[in-house]
Amino acid sequence: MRDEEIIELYVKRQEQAVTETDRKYGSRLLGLAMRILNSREDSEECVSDTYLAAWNAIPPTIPVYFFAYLAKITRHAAFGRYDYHTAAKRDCRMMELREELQECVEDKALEGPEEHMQAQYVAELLEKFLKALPEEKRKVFLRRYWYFDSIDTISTRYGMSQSKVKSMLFRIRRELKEYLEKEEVHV
Amino acid sequence: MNEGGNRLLLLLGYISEELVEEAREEEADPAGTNRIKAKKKSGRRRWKAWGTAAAAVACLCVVIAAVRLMGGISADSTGGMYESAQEEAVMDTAGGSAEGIEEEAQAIGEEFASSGESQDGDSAQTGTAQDGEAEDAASASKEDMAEADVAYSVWIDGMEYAPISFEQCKEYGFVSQEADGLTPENMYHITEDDLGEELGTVEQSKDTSMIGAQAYRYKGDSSGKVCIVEMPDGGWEIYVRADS
Repeated sequence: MRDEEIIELYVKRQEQAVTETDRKYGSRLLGLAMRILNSREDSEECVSDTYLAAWNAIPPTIPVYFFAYLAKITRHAAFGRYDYHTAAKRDCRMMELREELQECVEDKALEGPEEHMQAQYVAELLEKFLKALPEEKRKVFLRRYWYFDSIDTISTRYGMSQSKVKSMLFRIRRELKEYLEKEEVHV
Repeated sequence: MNEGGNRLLLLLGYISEELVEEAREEEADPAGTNRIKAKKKSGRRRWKAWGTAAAAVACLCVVIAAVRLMGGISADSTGGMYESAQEEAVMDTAGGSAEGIEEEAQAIGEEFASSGESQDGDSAQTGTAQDGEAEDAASASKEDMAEADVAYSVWIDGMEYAPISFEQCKEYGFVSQEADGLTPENMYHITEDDLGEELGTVEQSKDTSMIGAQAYRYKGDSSGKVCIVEMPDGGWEIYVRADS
Protein backbone atom coordinates (compact mmCIF):
# COMPACT_ATOMS: atom_id res chain seq x y z
CA MET A 1 0.00 0.00 0.00
CA ARG A 2 1.27 3.46 -0.85
CA ASP A 3 2.05 5.97 1.91
CA GLU A 4 -0.77 8.26 0.79
CA GLU A 5 -3.27 5.43 1.13
CA ILE A 6 -2.08 4.57 4.63
CA ILE A 7 -2.30 8.23 5.67
CA GLU A 8 -5.80 8.30 4.21
CA LEU A 9 -6.70 5.45 6.59
CA TYR A 10 -5.39 7.48 9.53
CA VAL A 11 -7.45 10.46 8.39
CA LYS A 12 -10.54 8.25 8.18
CA ARG A 13 -9.70 6.92 11.66
CA GLN A 14 -9.61 3.30 10.46
CA GLU A 15 -7.50 1.03 12.68
CA GLN A 16 -6.26 -0.79 9.62
CA ALA A 17 -3.91 2.22 9.29
CA VAL A 18 -1.75 0.88 12.10
CA THR A 19 -1.74 -2.66 10.65
CA GLU A 20 -0.67 -1.34 7.25
CA THR A 21 1.98 0.91 8.79
CA ASP A 22 3.37 -2.03 10.70
CA ARG A 23 3.32 -4.22 7.61
CA LYS A 24 5.19 -1.66 5.54
CA TYR A 25 7.58 -0.09 8.00
CA GLY A 26 7.42 -2.17 11.19
CA SER A 27 10.65 -4.08 10.64
CA ARG A 28 12.63 -0.97 9.72
CA LEU A 29 11.37 0.99 12.69
CA LEU A 30 12.13 -1.96 14.94
CA GLY A 31 15.61 -2.18 13.42
CA LEU A 32 16.22 1.50 14.10
CA ALA A 33 15.11 1.18 17.72
CA MET A 34 17.16 -2.00 18.13
CA ARG A 35 20.29 -0.23 16.95
CA ILE A 36 19.82 2.31 19.73
CA LEU A 37 18.50 0.14 22.55
CA ASN A 38 19.82 -3.29 21.66
CA SER A 39 16.80 -4.79 23.39
CA ARG A 40 13.97 -6.35 21.44
CA GLU A 41 11.42 -5.83 24.17
CA ASP A 42 12.18 -2.13 24.61
CA SER A 43 12.38 -1.64 20.86
CA GLU A 44 8.97 -3.21 20.28
CA GLU A 45 7.52 -0.86 22.87
CA CYS A 46 9.13 2.08 21.08
CA VAL A 47 7.55 1.03 17.81
CA SER A 48 4.15 0.67 19.50
CA ASP A 49 4.60 4.16 20.97
CA THR A 50 5.37 5.39 17.47
CA TYR A 51 2.11 4.01 16.10
CA LEU A 52 0.17 5.54 18.96
CA ALA A 53 1.83 8.91 18.44
CA ALA A 54 1.10 8.76 14.72
CA TRP A 55 -2.52 7.79 15.41
CA ASN A 56 -2.90 10.77 17.72
CA ALA A 57 -1.17 13.23 15.41
CA ILE A 58 -2.70 12.31 12.05
CA PRO A 59 -4.89 14.26 11.46
CA PRO A 60 -4.38 17.20 11.70
CA THR A 61 -0.75 16.51 10.81
CA ILE A 62 -0.30 15.12 7.31
CA PRO A 63 3.31 14.00 6.95
CA VAL A 64 4.99 14.62 3.62
CA TYR A 65 7.63 11.96 4.20
CA PHE A 66 5.75 9.27 6.05
CA PHE A 67 8.63 6.93 6.86
CA ALA A 68 10.90 9.77 7.99
CA TYR A 69 8.07 11.08 10.15
CA LEU A 70 7.63 7.70 11.84
CA ALA A 71 11.36 7.11 12.13
CA LYS A 72 11.83 10.44 13.92
CA ILE A 73 9.19 9.46 16.47
CA THR A 74 10.84 6.05 16.96
CA ARG A 75 14.28 7.61 17.32
CA HIS A 76 13.05 10.06 19.97
CA ALA A 77 11.16 7.31 21.78
CA ALA A 78 14.24 5.09 21.78
CA PHE A 79 16.44 7.87 23.13
CA GLY A 80 13.79 8.49 25.80
CA ARG A 81 14.09 4.89 26.90
CA TYR A 82 17.82 4.73 26.63
CA ASP A 83 19.33 3.82 29.92
CA TYR A 84 22.94 4.83 29.65
CA HIS A 85 24.22 2.49 32.29
CA THR A 86 22.50 -0.72 31.24
CA ALA A 87 22.73 0.05 27.54
CA ALA A 88 26.44 0.65 27.81
CA LYS A 89 26.81 -2.79 29.30
CA ARG A 90 24.70 -4.37 26.56
CA ASP A 91 26.18 -2.64 23.58
CA CYS A 92 29.16 -0.42 22.97
CA ARG A 93 27.88 0.94 19.64
CA MET A 94 26.12 3.94 21.15
CA MET A 95 29.18 4.67 23.24
CA GLU A 96 31.27 4.51 20.09
CA LEU A 97 28.96 6.91 18.25
CA ARG A 98 28.89 9.32 21.16
CA GLU A 99 32.65 9.28 21.35
CA GLU A 100 32.92 9.96 17.64
CA LEU A 101 30.63 12.95 17.79
CA GLN A 102 32.28 14.16 20.96
CA GLU A 103 35.21 15.20 18.74
CA CYS A 104 32.99 17.86 17.20
CA VAL A 105 32.03 19.69 20.38
CA GLU A 106 33.18 20.96 23.71
CA ASP A 107 31.07 20.14 26.73
CA LYS A 108 29.50 23.20 28.21
CA ALA A 109 26.52 22.57 30.40
CA LEU A 110 23.59 24.87 29.88
CA GLU A 111 20.47 24.84 31.92
CA GLY A 112 16.90 26.09 31.72
CA PRO A 113 15.43 28.05 28.79
CA GLU A 114 18.87 28.94 27.56
CA GLU A 115 19.56 25.25 27.00
CA HIS A 116 16.32 24.83 25.09
CA MET A 117 17.07 27.78 22.80
CA GLN A 118 20.59 26.59 22.31
CA ALA A 119 19.31 23.12 21.35
CA GLN A 120 16.97 24.59 18.76
CA TYR A 121 19.74 26.77 17.40
CA VAL A 122 22.19 23.86 17.18
CA ALA A 123 19.58 21.69 15.46
CA GLU A 124 19.11 24.43 12.85
CA LEU A 125 22.86 24.71 12.40
CA LEU A 126 23.14 20.95 11.94
CA GLU A 127 20.45 21.10 9.31
CA LYS A 128 22.29 23.89 7.47
CA PHE A 129 25.58 22.08 7.72
CA LEU A 130 24.14 18.84 6.38
CA LYS A 131 22.37 20.57 3.51
CA ALA A 132 25.65 22.15 2.46
CA LEU A 133 27.40 18.77 2.28
CA PRO A 134 27.61 16.87 -1.01
CA GLU A 135 24.81 14.31 -1.27
CA GLU A 136 26.98 11.24 -0.84
CA LYS A 137 28.74 12.59 2.24
CA ARG A 138 25.44 13.67 3.75
CA LYS A 139 23.94 10.23 3.27
CA VAL A 140 26.95 8.48 4.77
CA PHE A 141 26.86 10.82 7.77
CA LEU A 142 23.13 10.33 8.31
CA ARG A 143 23.34 6.57 7.90
CA ARG A 144 25.94 6.54 10.66
CA TYR A 145 24.59 9.07 13.13
CA TRP A 146 20.89 9.16 12.37
CA TYR A 147 20.19 5.55 11.44
CA PHE A 148 23.09 4.18 13.53
CA ASP A 149 24.36 1.91 10.76
CA SER A 150 27.68 0.15 11.25
CA ILE A 151 30.67 1.09 9.10
CA ASP A 152 30.40 -2.32 7.46
CA THR A 153 26.75 -1.76 6.51
CA ILE A 154 27.49 1.69 5.09
CA SER A 155 30.44 0.46 3.06
CA THR A 156 28.31 -2.31 1.57
CA ARG A 157 25.40 0.04 0.90
CA TYR A 158 27.47 2.59 -0.97
CA GLY A 159 30.04 0.25 -2.50
CA MET A 160 32.97 1.89 -0.69
CA SER A 161 35.81 0.41 1.28
CA GLN A 162 35.50 0.59 5.05
CA SER A 163 38.57 2.80 5.26
CA LYS A 164 37.01 5.23 2.81
CA VAL A 165 33.84 5.40 4.90
CA LYS A 166 35.92 5.97 8.04
CA SER A 167 38.01 8.68 6.46
CA MET A 168 34.91 10.33 5.01
CA LEU A 169 33.24 10.37 8.43
CA PHE A 170 36.43 11.65 10.00
CA ARG A 171 36.56 14.54 7.54
CA ILE A 172 32.88 15.39 8.04
CA ARG A 173 33.31 15.40 11.81
CA ARG A 174 36.27 17.71 11.44
CA GLU A 175 34.27 20.01 9.14
CA LEU A 176 31.38 19.95 11.62
CA LYS A 177 33.73 20.83 14.46
CA GLU A 178 35.12 23.78 12.50
CA TYR A 179 31.61 24.85 11.55
CA LEU A 180 30.34 24.74 15.13
CA GLU A 181 33.43 26.54 16.38
CA LYS A 182 32.93 29.23 13.76
CA GLU A 183 29.35 29.64 14.95
CA GLU A 184 30.65 29.71 18.52
CA VAL A 185 28.49 26.80 19.55
CA HIS A 186 29.24 24.72 22.60
CA VAL A 187 26.89 21.82 23.05
CA MET B 1 31.35 11.71 29.82
CA ASN B 2 30.83 12.35 26.11
CA GLU B 3 27.89 14.59 26.98
CA GLY B 4 28.48 16.80 23.96
CA GLY B 5 28.59 13.83 21.62
CA ASN B 6 25.42 12.48 23.13
CA ARG B 7 23.64 15.82 22.73
CA LEU B 8 24.68 16.03 19.11
CA LEU B 9 23.22 12.57 18.54
CA LEU B 10 20.00 13.72 20.18
CA LEU B 11 19.89 17.02 18.30
CA LEU B 12 20.40 15.25 15.01
CA GLY B 13 16.97 13.79 15.69
CA TYR B 14 15.49 17.25 15.03
CA ILE B 15 16.73 17.65 11.46
CA SER B 16 14.09 17.84 8.77
CA GLU B 17 12.28 14.78 7.52
CA GLU B 18 13.42 15.66 4.03
CA LEU B 19 17.04 14.86 4.90
CA VAL B 20 16.06 11.72 6.80
CA GLU B 21 14.00 10.57 3.84
CA GLU B 22 16.84 11.24 1.43
CA ALA B 23 19.15 8.89 3.33
CA ARG B 24 16.31 6.36 3.61
CA GLU B 25 15.68 6.22 -0.13
CA GLU B 26 18.63 3.91 -0.56
CA GLU B 27 16.98 1.46 1.77
CA ALA B 28 13.66 1.38 -0.02
CA ASP B 29 14.89 1.92 -3.51
CA PRO B 30 17.75 -0.31 -4.49
CA ALA B 31 17.84 1.57 -7.77
CA GLY B 32 19.12 4.52 -5.79
CA THR B 33 22.03 2.48 -4.55
CA ASN B 34 22.63 1.20 -8.00
CA ARG B 35 22.67 4.73 -9.31
CA ILE B 36 25.54 5.59 -7.01
CA LYS B 37 27.31 2.36 -7.84
CA ALA B 38 26.70 2.86 -11.54
CA LYS B 39 28.17 6.33 -11.25
CA LYS B 40 31.22 4.88 -9.57
CA LYS B 41 31.44 2.10 -12.12
CA SER B 42 31.25 4.52 -14.99
CA GLY B 43 34.06 6.49 -13.33
CA ARG B 44 36.08 3.31 -13.02
CA ARG B 45 35.30 2.45 -16.63
CA ARG B 46 36.56 5.87 -17.69
CA TRP B 47 39.78 5.27 -15.78
CA LYS B 48 40.03 1.80 -17.31
CA ALA B 49 39.58 3.29 -20.78
CA TRP B 50 42.32 5.84 -20.07
CA GLY B 51 44.52 3.05 -18.73
CA THR B 52 43.96 0.98 -21.87
CA ALA B 53 44.70 3.96 -24.07
CA ALA B 54 47.88 4.71 -22.11
CA ALA B 55 48.95 1.06 -22.38
CA ALA B 56 48.30 1.12 -26.13
CA VAL B 57 50.41 4.28 -26.52
CA ALA B 58 53.18 2.70 -24.43
CA CYS B 59 53.10 -0.44 -26.63
CA LEU B 60 53.26 1.70 -29.75
CA CYS B 61 56.29 3.51 -28.35
CA VAL B 62 58.00 0.19 -27.68
CA VAL B 63 57.18 -0.98 -31.22
CA ILE B 64 58.57 2.26 -32.66
CA ALA B 65 61.75 1.97 -30.60
CA ALA B 66 62.17 -1.69 -31.61
CA VAL B 67 61.51 -0.93 -35.25
CA ARG B 68 64.00 1.93 -35.14
CA LEU B 69 66.59 -0.33 -33.58
CA MET B 70 66.03 -3.11 -36.10
CA GLY B 71 65.90 -0.63 -38.95
CA GLY B 72 69.28 0.69 -37.86
CA ILE B 73 70.82 -2.77 -37.87
CA SER B 74 69.44 -3.79 -41.23
CA ALA B 75 69.64 -0.42 -42.90
CA ASP B 76 72.91 -1.13 -44.66
CA SER B 77 71.52 -3.87 -46.86
CA THR B 78 67.81 -3.48 -47.14
CA GLY B 79 65.34 -0.82 -47.85
CA GLY B 80 65.43 0.60 -44.32
CA MET B 81 62.81 1.47 -41.87
CA TYR B 82 59.69 1.71 -43.92
CA GLU B 83 60.23 -1.58 -45.74
CA SER B 84 61.38 -3.31 -42.60
CA ALA B 85 58.31 -2.21 -40.72
CA GLN B 86 56.14 -3.23 -43.63
CA GLU B 87 57.81 -6.63 -43.83
CA GLU B 88 57.23 -7.15 -40.14
CA ALA B 89 53.68 -6.13 -40.57
CA VAL B 90 53.20 -8.55 -43.43
CA MET B 91 54.85 -11.33 -41.43
CA ASP B 92 52.55 -10.67 -38.52
CA THR B 93 49.43 -10.33 -40.53
CA ALA B 94 48.46 -13.85 -41.20
CA GLY B 95 45.48 -13.25 -38.92
CA GLY B 96 42.42 -11.04 -39.29
CA SER B 97 44.03 -7.85 -37.98
CA ALA B 98 46.42 -7.60 -40.91
CA GLU B 99 45.12 -4.30 -42.13
CA GLY B 100 45.44 -2.68 -38.76
CA ILE B 101 49.07 -3.71 -38.35
CA GLU B 102 49.90 -2.67 -41.91
CA GLU B 103 48.36 0.67 -41.19
CA GLU B 104 50.41 0.89 -38.05
CA ALA B 105 53.58 0.08 -39.97
CA GLN B 106 52.66 2.63 -42.59
CA ALA B 107 52.03 5.19 -39.89
CA ILE B 108 55.48 4.50 -38.47
CA GLY B 109 56.96 4.93 -41.95
CA GLU B 110 55.08 8.15 -42.44
CA GLU B 111 56.29 9.41 -39.13
CA PHE B 112 59.83 8.90 -40.26
CA ALA B 113 59.13 10.47 -43.64
CA SER B 114 57.69 13.54 -42.00
CA SER B 115 60.70 13.86 -39.72
CA GLY B 116 62.83 14.26 -42.86
CA GLU B 117 64.65 11.03 -42.39
CA SER B 118 66.04 9.05 -45.29
CA GLN B 119 63.94 5.99 -45.95
CA ASP B 120 66.07 4.61 -48.70
CA GLY B 121 68.49 3.09 -46.31
CA ASP B 122 71.26 3.50 -48.81
CA SER B 123 74.13 3.98 -46.48
CA ALA B 124 75.60 3.02 -43.19
CA GLN B 125 75.21 6.65 -42.20
CA THR B 126 71.50 6.18 -41.95
CA GLY B 127 72.13 3.19 -39.78
CA THR B 128 74.36 5.23 -37.52
CA ALA B 129 71.83 8.00 -37.36
CA GLN B 130 69.18 5.49 -36.48
CA ASP B 131 71.39 3.93 -33.81
CA GLY B 132 71.69 7.37 -32.34
CA GLU B 133 67.97 7.77 -32.49
CA ALA B 134 67.47 4.44 -30.77
CA GLU B 135 69.79 5.59 -27.99
CA ASP B 136 67.86 8.85 -27.78
CA ALA B 137 64.64 6.90 -27.63
CA ALA B 138 66.05 4.65 -24.94
CA SER B 139 67.30 7.59 -22.91
CA ALA B 140 64.03 9.41 -23.44
CA SER B 141 62.24 6.32 -22.25
CA LYS B 142 64.48 6.21 -19.15
CA GLU B 143 63.65 9.85 -18.52
CA ASP B 144 59.97 9.05 -18.83
CA MET B 145 60.37 6.24 -16.34
CA ALA B 146 62.20 8.52 -13.94
CA GLU B 147 59.40 11.01 -14.37
CA ALA B 148 56.82 8.31 -13.67
CA ASP B 149 58.62 7.48 -10.42
CA VAL B 150 58.21 11.02 -9.09
CA ALA B 151 54.83 11.64 -10.67
CA TYR B 152 52.95 11.26 -7.41
CA SER B 153 55.47 12.76 -5.05
CA VAL B 154 54.12 15.58 -2.98
CA TRP B 155 55.73 18.66 -1.48
CA ILE B 156 54.69 19.60 2.01
CA ASP B 157 56.22 22.51 3.84
CA GLY B 158 58.92 22.69 1.17
CA MET B 159 59.93 19.02 1.61
CA GLU B 160 59.45 16.31 -0.95
CA TYR B 161 57.63 13.16 0.12
CA ALA B 162 57.38 10.09 -2.09
CA PRO B 163 54.87 7.24 -1.87
CA ILE B 164 56.25 4.60 0.44
CA SER B 165 58.03 1.69 -1.24
CA PHE B 166 57.63 -1.94 -0.20
CA GLU B 167 61.12 -1.97 1.33
CA GLN B 168 60.28 1.17 3.30
CA CYS B 169 57.05 -0.49 4.45
CA LYS B 170 59.27 -3.18 5.99
CA GLU B 171 61.70 -0.59 7.35
CA TYR B 172 58.98 1.39 9.13
CA GLY B 173 57.14 -1.69 10.35
CA PHE B 174 54.03 -1.45 8.19
CA VAL B 175 54.60 -5.03 7.06
CA SER B 176 56.58 -7.81 8.68
CA GLN B 177 60.23 -8.33 7.79
CA GLU B 178 59.34 -11.74 6.38
CA ALA B 179 56.76 -10.30 3.99
CA ASP B 180 57.44 -11.25 0.42
CA GLY B 181 55.74 -8.98 -2.06
CA LEU B 182 52.77 -6.66 -1.72
CA THR B 183 50.00 -9.22 -1.33
CA PRO B 184 46.65 -8.14 0.18
CA GLU B 185 47.61 -9.62 3.56
CA ASN B 186 50.84 -7.64 3.45
CA MET B 187 49.07 -4.34 2.91
CA TYR B 188 48.81 -2.03 5.87
CA HIS B 189 45.41 -0.45 6.38
CA ILE B 190 45.64 3.03 7.78
CA THR B 191 43.06 4.14 10.29
CA GLU B 192 42.54 7.50 11.95
CA ASP B 193 44.32 6.09 14.98
CA ASP B 194 47.52 6.28 12.96
CA LEU B 195 47.15 10.01 12.41
CA GLY B 196 49.48 12.16 14.46
CA GLU B 197 49.65 15.93 14.50
CA GLU B 198 48.86 17.88 11.36
CA LEU B 199 51.88 18.34 9.15
CA GLY B 200 50.34 20.74 6.66
CA THR B 201 48.83 20.57 3.23
CA VAL B 202 50.23 19.41 -0.08
CA GLU B 203 51.69 22.48 -1.76
CA GLN B 204 52.87 20.94 -4.96
CA SER B 205 52.48 17.71 -6.86
CA LYS B 206 52.41 16.53 -10.43
CA ASP B 207 49.01 15.12 -9.58
CA THR B 208 47.23 18.44 -9.23
CA SER B 209 44.25 16.85 -7.50
CA MET B 210 46.55 16.24 -4.53
CA ILE B 211 47.27 19.93 -4.01
CA GLY B 212 45.63 21.11 -0.81
CA ALA B 213 45.28 17.58 0.61
CA GLN B 214 45.79 17.41 4.36
CA ALA B 215 48.90 15.63 5.63
CA TYR B 216 49.50 14.23 9.11
CA ARG B 217 52.50 12.81 10.83
CA TYR B 218 52.40 9.06 11.34
CA LYS B 219 52.02 8.34 15.06
CA GLY B 220 54.20 5.27 14.96
CA ASP B 221 57.23 7.08 13.57
CA SER B 222 59.49 9.09 15.82
CA SER B 223 61.84 10.21 13.04
CA GLY B 224 59.20 12.51 11.51
CA LYS B 225 59.96 11.17 8.05
CA VAL B 226 56.70 9.34 7.51
CA CYS B 227 53.47 11.14 6.86
CA ILE B 228 49.93 10.19 5.94
CA VAL B 229 48.12 12.13 3.27
CA GLU B 230 44.36 12.25 2.80
CA MET B 231 43.69 11.25 -0.77
CA PRO B 232 41.22 13.34 -2.79
CA ASP B 233 39.02 10.29 -3.42
CA GLY B 234 39.02 9.26 0.24
CA GLY B 235 41.34 6.98 2.18
CA TRP B 236 44.91 7.67 3.22
CA GLU B 237 48.30 6.97 1.71
CA ILE B 238 51.67 6.75 3.35
CA TYR B 239 54.50 9.00 2.13
CA VAL B 240 58.12 9.09 3.17
CA ARG B 241 60.42 12.09 3.00
CA ALA B 242 62.43 11.77 -0.18
CA ASP B 243 65.76 12.47 1.51
CA SER B 244 65.37 9.54 3.91
